[in-house]
Amino acid sequence: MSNPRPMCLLDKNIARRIIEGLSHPDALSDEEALVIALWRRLRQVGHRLFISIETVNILRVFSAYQEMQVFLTSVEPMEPTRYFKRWARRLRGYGFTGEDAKVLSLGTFGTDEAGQILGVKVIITLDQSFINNLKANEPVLEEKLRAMAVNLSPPFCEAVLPRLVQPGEVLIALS
Amino acid sequence: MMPEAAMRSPTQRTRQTADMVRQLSHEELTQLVNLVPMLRRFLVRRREPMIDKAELKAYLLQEMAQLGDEYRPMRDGDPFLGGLTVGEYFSLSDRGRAETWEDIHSMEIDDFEERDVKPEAHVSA
Repeated sequence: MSNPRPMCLLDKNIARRIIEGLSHPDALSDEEALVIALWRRLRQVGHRLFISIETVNILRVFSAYQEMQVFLTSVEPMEPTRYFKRWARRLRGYGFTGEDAKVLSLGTFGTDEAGQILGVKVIITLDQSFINNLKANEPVLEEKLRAMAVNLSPPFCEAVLPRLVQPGEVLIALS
Repeated sequence: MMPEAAMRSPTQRTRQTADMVRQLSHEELTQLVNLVPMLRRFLVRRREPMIDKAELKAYLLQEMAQLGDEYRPMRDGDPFLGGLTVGEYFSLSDRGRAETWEDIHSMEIDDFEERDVKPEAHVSA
């Protein structure tokens, strides 16, 4: 596939901040403003933005609301592929919460509706403890993932661990 | 640790410059940063993105205005996340809203349905 658009996965608290900001645009908190500035920038530069299929299914119930519709039309659902569960269960053994394990595993074993991608390079989160835990375990997790993937068929044998980044870091990098 | 100079009270010259900068539009701020590249390097080093809330408000309103008539703004009595109404949800503290989102994301790892991908799928690396 030639020159695919950059992609990133937004965790559910990023989605929450955007939706809440859309509901009161004249009274944005600093954190909402940061996340919305990033969301706008990512859209301007043509990134494909994903949220988990679980979050999409929850939010779609309210898609008749302007605020929700604006957000939902800006994102795509990321769906679990084969090996998602196996990798998520292994991540649980490294101190990740169930929610963190779901998101991190989706970043490695997740795909779009057409099944044309595997994983994302970057997951954007506000959760510094999640970021710290990945940093602390990154070398061993990369080794575990390589060992797990080596015998899998393409494209799963090329699966990689995504980076976890704070919104401000991405916004500065794109400015 | 902040440098000592950054912790002192701003000088009159700094305050006057700040007043002028506050009156600049986003476009003018961009021009200023291009004329004084050290500002960009300084902001990057300080890891503080420039954010204009008034501009973001205009962006959000414009995004919603572009939708068709079939969509409408949320109202306080409308049903919303976690079985709450919109009004009830937004009367919660930030922590309360975060807990609501935790509660509604209740799927266990084994609840997810896995699907296949195309063998030639693009892998982010």
